[in-house]
Amino acid sequence: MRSTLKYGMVIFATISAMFSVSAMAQEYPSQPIKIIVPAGAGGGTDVLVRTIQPYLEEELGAEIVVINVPGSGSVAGSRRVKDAEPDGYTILVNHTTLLTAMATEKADFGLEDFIVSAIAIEVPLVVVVPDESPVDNLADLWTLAKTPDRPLIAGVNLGAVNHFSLLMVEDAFDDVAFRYVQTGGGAKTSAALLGNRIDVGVLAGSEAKSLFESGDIKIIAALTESRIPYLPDVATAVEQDVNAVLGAKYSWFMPAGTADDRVEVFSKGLRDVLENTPELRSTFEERGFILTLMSGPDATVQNSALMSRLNDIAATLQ
Amino acid sequence: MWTSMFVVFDALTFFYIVLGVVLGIVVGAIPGLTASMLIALTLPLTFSMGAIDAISLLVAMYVGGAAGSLITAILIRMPGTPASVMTTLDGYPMTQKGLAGLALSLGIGASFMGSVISWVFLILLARPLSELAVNFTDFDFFAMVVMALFLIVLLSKGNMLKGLIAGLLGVLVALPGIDPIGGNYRFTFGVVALRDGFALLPVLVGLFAGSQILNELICPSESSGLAGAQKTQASVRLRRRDLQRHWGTVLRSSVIGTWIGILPGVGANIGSAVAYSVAKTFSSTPEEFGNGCEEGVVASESANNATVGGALVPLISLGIPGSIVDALLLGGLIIHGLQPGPNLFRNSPDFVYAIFGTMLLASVLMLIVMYFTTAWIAKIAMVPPKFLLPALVVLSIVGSFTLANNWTNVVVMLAFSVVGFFLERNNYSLAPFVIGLVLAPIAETSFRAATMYTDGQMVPLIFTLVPMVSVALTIVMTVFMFRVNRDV
Repeated sequence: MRSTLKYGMVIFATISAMFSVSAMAQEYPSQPIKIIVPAGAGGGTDVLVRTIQPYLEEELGAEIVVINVPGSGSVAGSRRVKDAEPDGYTILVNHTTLLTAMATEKADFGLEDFIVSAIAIEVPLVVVVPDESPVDNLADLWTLAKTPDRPLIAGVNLGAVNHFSLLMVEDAFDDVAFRYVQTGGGAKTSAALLGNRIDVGVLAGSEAKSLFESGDIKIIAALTESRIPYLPDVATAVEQDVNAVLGAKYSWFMPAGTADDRVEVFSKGLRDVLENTPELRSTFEERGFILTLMSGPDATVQNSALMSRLNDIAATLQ
Repeated sequence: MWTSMFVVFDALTFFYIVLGVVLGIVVGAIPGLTASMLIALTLPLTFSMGAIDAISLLVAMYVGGAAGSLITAILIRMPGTPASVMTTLDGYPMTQKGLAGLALSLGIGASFMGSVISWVFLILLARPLSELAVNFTDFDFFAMVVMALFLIVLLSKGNMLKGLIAGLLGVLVALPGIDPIGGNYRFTFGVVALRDGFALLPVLVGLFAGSQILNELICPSESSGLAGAQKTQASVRLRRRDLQRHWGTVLRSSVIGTWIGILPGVGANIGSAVAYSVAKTFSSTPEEFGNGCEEGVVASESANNATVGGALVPLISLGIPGSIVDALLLGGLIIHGLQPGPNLFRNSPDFVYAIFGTMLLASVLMLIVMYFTTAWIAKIAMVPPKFLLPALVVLSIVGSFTLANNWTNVVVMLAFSVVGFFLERNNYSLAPFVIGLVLAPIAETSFRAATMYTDGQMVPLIFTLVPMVSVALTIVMTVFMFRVNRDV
């Protein structure tokens, strides 16, 4: 009887010790991290996240669960993260499209509802024209746009990032108004360019590269800060005195109110993975991504600056 | 070319193709899971594989996924993916008549033929077809879709008014949610859950499977429901007789499916909806459509499988993905250092031929796998309703939930079960409803996009080749039909 009691006490002590250890180990991360992809399985964002997932799991020592919450042009999934517990275990991966949704008031929340853990990886955008076009650079495009009685047809997905990027270009040209038509994303815009139905469009760098090499389109400007490594001959818009810099930059958001140390642990993990995994880097480079990486206050400042520019442009749409 | 295609008989590649076809069929058959989800989840696993193995696995999944969905569509009135909803319209009534085996045989045979015919277009005419496709304007597309819509209303014989009402209801259901142009919310009545509109799959599962469950629960004595399926002949046989009878429908539907597959961003469900409408026009017994007509199953299945080969056409010749799955394949190509686009053929011909070989082999394997497994899967139709019903309820709910990981779709599915129940009780056919639902968004988008080019002017759009031909064809088919009907 006595010994039973003794054993019981030992067991009790052990169990309580285990509990106190786990209570002490409120280290982050100590449970699975949910990454919300606000788009369907197999889209650009989804493939990007699932490519990084195994490396990030190893680096952070926690399981990562990717959850697809498609809908409302990425607003539905973003809202889910905004409303989640700010404990660092629910993370949103979304790109500039969230900012344009905010600028056009399709999202009923703003950047202040999130903390950005990092801005990592950019899909660079380029301005393209059909191969038959007389246009070779942005100055030519301006000239063409000024032709009387001939509207310049710009193929975009209205309200999306490619629309905003051409609005930025148009904004730099005086006395012209593009006629925007709905083509959609890269595939449909490419088809419209090859069919010579639009005068100008915007494509991701990698999409444009293959059509450019086969002589089906011309690339007239890169909308990046500096030239795209795999398109070294394409001058940026800024080089052509047009202040248009816009790409699909991926931000890794947590709900506002998440503890700073958790935000940092995650962004450090992401940084280590991206900087120290050569096969990941080469995969991304092959896919035409640019490996930018920014975290902490810098990332917040960059997103806010972009947000106010997009708001200004959205105001001209009204 | 032929020797390059034989790489698919390499032991490992062959294994991946078998694996891909089987997984594709299984996923296609489960409502809520689609080939694009399977491929998305598999894509990261293929990074470490050889380029040809990787792309063979993915293409095989695509081919299998397009075919698998016919099984549940025919047997339990639950379209595995939206692309097979047109199959449900006639496939399930055939099951009720005890002809499940024949419906499955026709569906499988038509899937195979559709797949192979689109493959022939892919290998022979990829470049010219995609050049034709990039010159196909939004208004051309609008004209083609309107022709299909017009024909289906015209053909709702006897009950033309009810057909029109059901069709317009389908159009109404397609409207709420995100404006396809500009992306603003519309008709959401302030409800956040309505911001994405009604997702296609839960609506279809509710309309077809859910309404059937309600019918069983409310009026179990009527043998119109699942009970009627129990005397089913489940054996699957591929007979030359069936091919001889339906070759016209197969060929026409496959060409329609291939063409619609080539056009970027237009899915398999639209391919089968258009092919179904056209098949009904050409049929000598259009009144049989919806009551278990063999041609309905054949048209739907050959067209939706033909969109697979069609969608690969612009991907291989131009680097432009013809469907969501193709966009994933594009990612797979780039990861393996292959530059998709017009130069793919020039730079890596072996690789292109391997894709061709995979698609053909996968089509054959799909036929074999479906042929040998469907006979016993078809026994589902003989399970008594009291055991089958709970399984159907679970499948409907889980399928709707997994689509976007939210309960909204489950509520939508339940609501449309009630809608479907009342429509059928009052003799409104579901076919025009579904065609309105599927074709309205694409008709709207293409019309509005087309008029943006001309700043709202209609005249320069109408007097062009494709719209004029569509109008002429519609008139000819209408006259032709009335004459045939008068003779009867």
